[in-house]
Amino acid sequence: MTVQGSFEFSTDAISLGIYMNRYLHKHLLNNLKVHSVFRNVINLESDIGLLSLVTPEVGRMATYAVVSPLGDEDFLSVGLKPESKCIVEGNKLIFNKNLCINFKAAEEWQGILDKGYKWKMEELKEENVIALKAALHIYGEKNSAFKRVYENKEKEIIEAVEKLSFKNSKSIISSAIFSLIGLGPGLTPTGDDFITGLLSVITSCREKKYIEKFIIDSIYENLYRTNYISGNMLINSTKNIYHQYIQDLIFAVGSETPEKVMEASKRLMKIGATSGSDIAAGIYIGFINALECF
Amino acid sequence: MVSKTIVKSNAYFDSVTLMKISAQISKLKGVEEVLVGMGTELNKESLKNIGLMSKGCEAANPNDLIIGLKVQDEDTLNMALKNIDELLTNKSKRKEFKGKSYERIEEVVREQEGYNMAVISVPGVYAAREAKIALNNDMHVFLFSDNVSVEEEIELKDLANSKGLLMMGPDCGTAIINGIPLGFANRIRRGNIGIVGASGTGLQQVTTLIHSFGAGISQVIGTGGRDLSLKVGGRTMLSALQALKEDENTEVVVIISKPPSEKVAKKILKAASNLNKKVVLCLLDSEKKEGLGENIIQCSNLEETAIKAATLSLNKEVKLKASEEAYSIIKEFETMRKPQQKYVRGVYGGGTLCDEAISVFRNRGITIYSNITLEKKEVLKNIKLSRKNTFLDMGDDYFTKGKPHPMIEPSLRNNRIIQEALDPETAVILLDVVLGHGSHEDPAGIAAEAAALANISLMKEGRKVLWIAALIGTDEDPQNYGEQKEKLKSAGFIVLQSNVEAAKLAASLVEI
Amino acid sequence: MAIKDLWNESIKVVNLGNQGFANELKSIDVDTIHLHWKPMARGNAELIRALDALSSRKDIEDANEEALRRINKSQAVLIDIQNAIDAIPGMTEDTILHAGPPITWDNMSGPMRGAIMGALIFEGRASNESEAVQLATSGIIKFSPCHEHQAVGPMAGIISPSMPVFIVENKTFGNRAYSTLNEGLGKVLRYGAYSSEVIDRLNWMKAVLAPGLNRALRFSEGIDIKGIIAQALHMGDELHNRNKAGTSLFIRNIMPHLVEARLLSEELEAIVKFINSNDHFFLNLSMAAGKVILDAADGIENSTVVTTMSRNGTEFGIRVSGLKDQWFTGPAQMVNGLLFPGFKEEDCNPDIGDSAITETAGYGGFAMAAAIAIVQFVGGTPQDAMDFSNKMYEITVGESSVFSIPVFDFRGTATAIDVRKVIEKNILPQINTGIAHKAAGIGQVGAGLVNPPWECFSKAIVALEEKLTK
Repeated sequence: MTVQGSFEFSTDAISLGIYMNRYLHKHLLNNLKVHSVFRNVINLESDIGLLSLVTPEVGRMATYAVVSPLGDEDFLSVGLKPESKCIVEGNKLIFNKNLCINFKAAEEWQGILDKGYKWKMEELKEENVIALKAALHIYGEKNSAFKRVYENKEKEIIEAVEKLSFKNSKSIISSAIFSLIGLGPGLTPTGDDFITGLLSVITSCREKKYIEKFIIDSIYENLYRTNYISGNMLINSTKNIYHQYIQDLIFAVGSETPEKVMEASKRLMKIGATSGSDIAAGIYIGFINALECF
Repeated sequence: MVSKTIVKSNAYFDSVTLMKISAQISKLKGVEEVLVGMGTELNKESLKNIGLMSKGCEAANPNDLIIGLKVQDEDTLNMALKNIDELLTNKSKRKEFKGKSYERIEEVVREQEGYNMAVISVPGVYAAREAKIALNNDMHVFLFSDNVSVEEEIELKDLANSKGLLMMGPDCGTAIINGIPLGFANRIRRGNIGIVGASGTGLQQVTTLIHSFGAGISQVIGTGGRDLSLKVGGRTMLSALQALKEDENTEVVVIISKPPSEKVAKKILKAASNLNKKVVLCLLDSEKKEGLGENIIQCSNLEETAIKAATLSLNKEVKLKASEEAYSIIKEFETMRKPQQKYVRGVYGGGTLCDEAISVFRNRGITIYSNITLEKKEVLKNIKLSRKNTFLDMGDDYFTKGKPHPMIEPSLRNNRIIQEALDPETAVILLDVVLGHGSHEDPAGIAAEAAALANISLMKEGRKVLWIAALIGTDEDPQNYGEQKEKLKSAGFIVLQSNVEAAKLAASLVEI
Repeated sequence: MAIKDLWNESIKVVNLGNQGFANELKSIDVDTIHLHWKPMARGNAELIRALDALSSRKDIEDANEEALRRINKSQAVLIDIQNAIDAIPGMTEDTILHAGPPITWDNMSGPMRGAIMGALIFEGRASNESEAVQLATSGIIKFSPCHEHQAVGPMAGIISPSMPVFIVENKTFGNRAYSTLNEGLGKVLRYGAYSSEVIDRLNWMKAVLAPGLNRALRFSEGIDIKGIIAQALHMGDELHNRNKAGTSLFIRNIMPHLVEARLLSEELEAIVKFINSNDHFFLNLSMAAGKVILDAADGIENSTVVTTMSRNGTEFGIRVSGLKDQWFTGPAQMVNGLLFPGFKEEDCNPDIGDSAITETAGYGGFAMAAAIAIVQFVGGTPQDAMDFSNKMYEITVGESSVFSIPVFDFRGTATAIDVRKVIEKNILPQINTGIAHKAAGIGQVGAGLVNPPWECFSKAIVALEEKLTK
């Protein structure tokens, strides 16, 4: 079937994350449909999970296609509704007559973790972790996990965080995950973001820990407690698929300097309302617990 | 390493916008050098210095945009270029608001009514001309630009006087007219104190303290840095004093300035005596003058000026609020203090505040060194290396050539702050954090970053440093004073409202 | 007014420079206009001062209005065809006129040298290339700009004594202008070719074409060239790069008289075929008309109107009405456009020819919106063609009362370029033109868009300031 005629909106993809790239080019995507539309994100449901079309300021991820902005308009003007079908034709992603995205010239993007970077325990510098903590103090959002633990001293979160020490048993870890998933307001609840951050430290560590499997199992058991979008974020985390800024921060803490950690933390914490701060808090706890272990 | 230079013809952007873009791009991973600027001689020189000059750039004129990059690899280059492009189009897109766009003052005057204030910050070589056009069209002028000649300044001020218009500047950074902040200024409660001053941060310190005491301002008029020089003769100050005299909402008048020449001082003092209102006179760095009019109270620093003015305004005594955390922080510091930690390092963004801190130290007989002192024996031989008690004005030309002022881009003084903190002889770091219109959106965050990073290194060496910040702002400023204060405290700062107070505290920790 | 009045007013701000100041004010709901301010005159302080000295001057405005009036009131009628030596003022046996501002042999580009060599061979003063070069460099031959002799020539623009020239008269003001007859396309003299084919053709034009056309002219009351230009603008020509309609109208006008002239049938046939095979035959008349119109507006005291824009392949030169006879030059630019198949950028000669007289007179590139099909040759989109023409209104004193652009609601074309406005707004006149091969005798390699160099105008404004502020 060839689609002819012009589209109301059309644009080019600038970069494709490795998963997006792989599946688009091998035409392995059937049953693509719109899940949700935001100002600068279009989420697509597919056989392999949630994929997203984003504009450059959102950043990059293995499951993202970064596209050029639509002039002065945003995605909300395109007129796409949930369940709208989407097909891949040649080098184009087509949404009926509304939108056409040409990904022919798009470059593949891989973040540092995507390329296989692992941080090593023996190279982890305490000063980098301290720098992350300082950044959280200075730039962490008011209502984010970090502030709630260290300033407001909220019991529920503190308990959950304490349970996540790396040496704990499966049942304790599971109960912590249980209480965190779905906790808090927002598209991606505070608890989910925190877990994402924590898990990112664990999955990207060269040395394997039992806790990784405990957390992953527990996530799958509790997915029903959160929403589709956040759930997909958690599923991606279990597969070591993380947003660019998370990857950059892991790399900064694992291998760079306190200054770089500060910069990478700031960038991450600008995401969303509290999402960035919550993820950063999870990363911090992850590294603290790692240090504690050894 | 990959280098690239691009010249775009006839694409004009204002210099501050471009410097902010440069600053943003320089923070990207893998970017070693970046310059985004118009083809001025200054920028071309900077380009040469970082090894990015090209033939196209040699030929560039001030209407051409130059982009120079030195980055790690091709990927970073492409990303940086894309980012720059986006930022530039965003800047020009934002200009396309609803309604007509204008390029000239004359166009606005032709088609619109009621525009009565021209805020001018174009490069100095064009500034006087634009100010003249504004005055000729019956507009008052706030002239932020510097590098305007004395002759041009006199011509403008005479023209303004002949037409009964306010000519603030050149080199005027702060004013608050009818409660509206112009340039770098804070949100201050309205009240009955009228202020005329030649120094931007000086006005900011006084107005914010006045606000904290519960008093308010009627008008705050900036005269520009050179108004009280012999040639210019205080033209704007004199007109401003007359206007405050005739302002029924002004009951207390404050005059703030560096010491003027004798002749000019006489004129100002005479005008002050004839105001028929109470006058609080602050001539920074000056001896007490004899034979002042009865209505004149002379103060020696900004803090004292604000206290006296607020007291007169409210008809009751006012006092600075003490810092709750100071005592415990100092105690903790003293227990850990090493014998060689003997000195204070002031790393300032505001020149007047730096000066004021220096005065405090001088008055206590403590020897200081600085990059802005006029005393030969106090001059820092190597500006890159501080000596003993040193006070640096990071807004001075030496530091800001081709870069934004630290008030706009505070991260530019962070390296120096960290350098000073890590010096084994340093006991105290003293700095100003200025909020308000025109300032960075999170100056406390940036300062706290510097302290946090310095503290990490200090911790490794088993040392601590005492951090003192003068946080200049009000609870109505866009940056949220309370949150800014918390950020500083979380990094270990003692936070004070008054620069003098901060300097005195610092001095008390190092005097023998 | 006194400063204290301000205390009772509502503050409304005009901001120029740092946009951050405007944004802060808008965020607290202060009525603020941020100007899209750019320094005038490319930021050059000296030029800004000159502009200030020359602005708001009634004497200059009046002089410019007079220039526009004369341009609009001028006529351009083809009345005669004679040999250059007999018609053109200042022409001698040793004179060779060329396009553009004054230039010496050493600085001439390929096409111009080739054309001069061909002219000397045509004149019988040399029999081959090397003799021609020897003669040209001997000092005997006087080179002079066509423009300084009330003449114009396309491309190399070479006029030698024996060449027949059109004589176009400005009936309103009495002055005259001269140009050669267009030889056709490809390997022709004006592109620097000097082969025997070229010389033979020139001889035929002198022996048959010119006399034949002249006899036809005797039967007319002159051909109204300005009228043809006005009509051709409504038929898709701009009379610089597109002359098809102009040529067609000229043929229509002259044909009855050619028949009336009872020429020998072979001659008539040859003449008609010749004119008919050359879409650009009318160009030389279009140029002569522009010249005769602008010369009438030259030499008006205090006027800042441009009366000449011209190139010699090395330099671009302009002249200004109020600074009579002074040339202001800068390097001729490379034309930016589309090349014919097989040619590359390296093959191109810099901008050359007197044909920019058409833009100076308010048509040519200034009327691109009337000849949108031109984008097929010069590149760009139809919208570009309209935008270019539109922009020109910003740098002229006014509009033509005769030449109009249908798609702009029949608005008159931008007419009478004001040097001050060019400098103030940093908008250079838009020319669209053909591109010559840089080697002599190969011909046209493409067409495109070009501007004069800024220096011409910056030098002119400085000279104007000097003269007009005493």
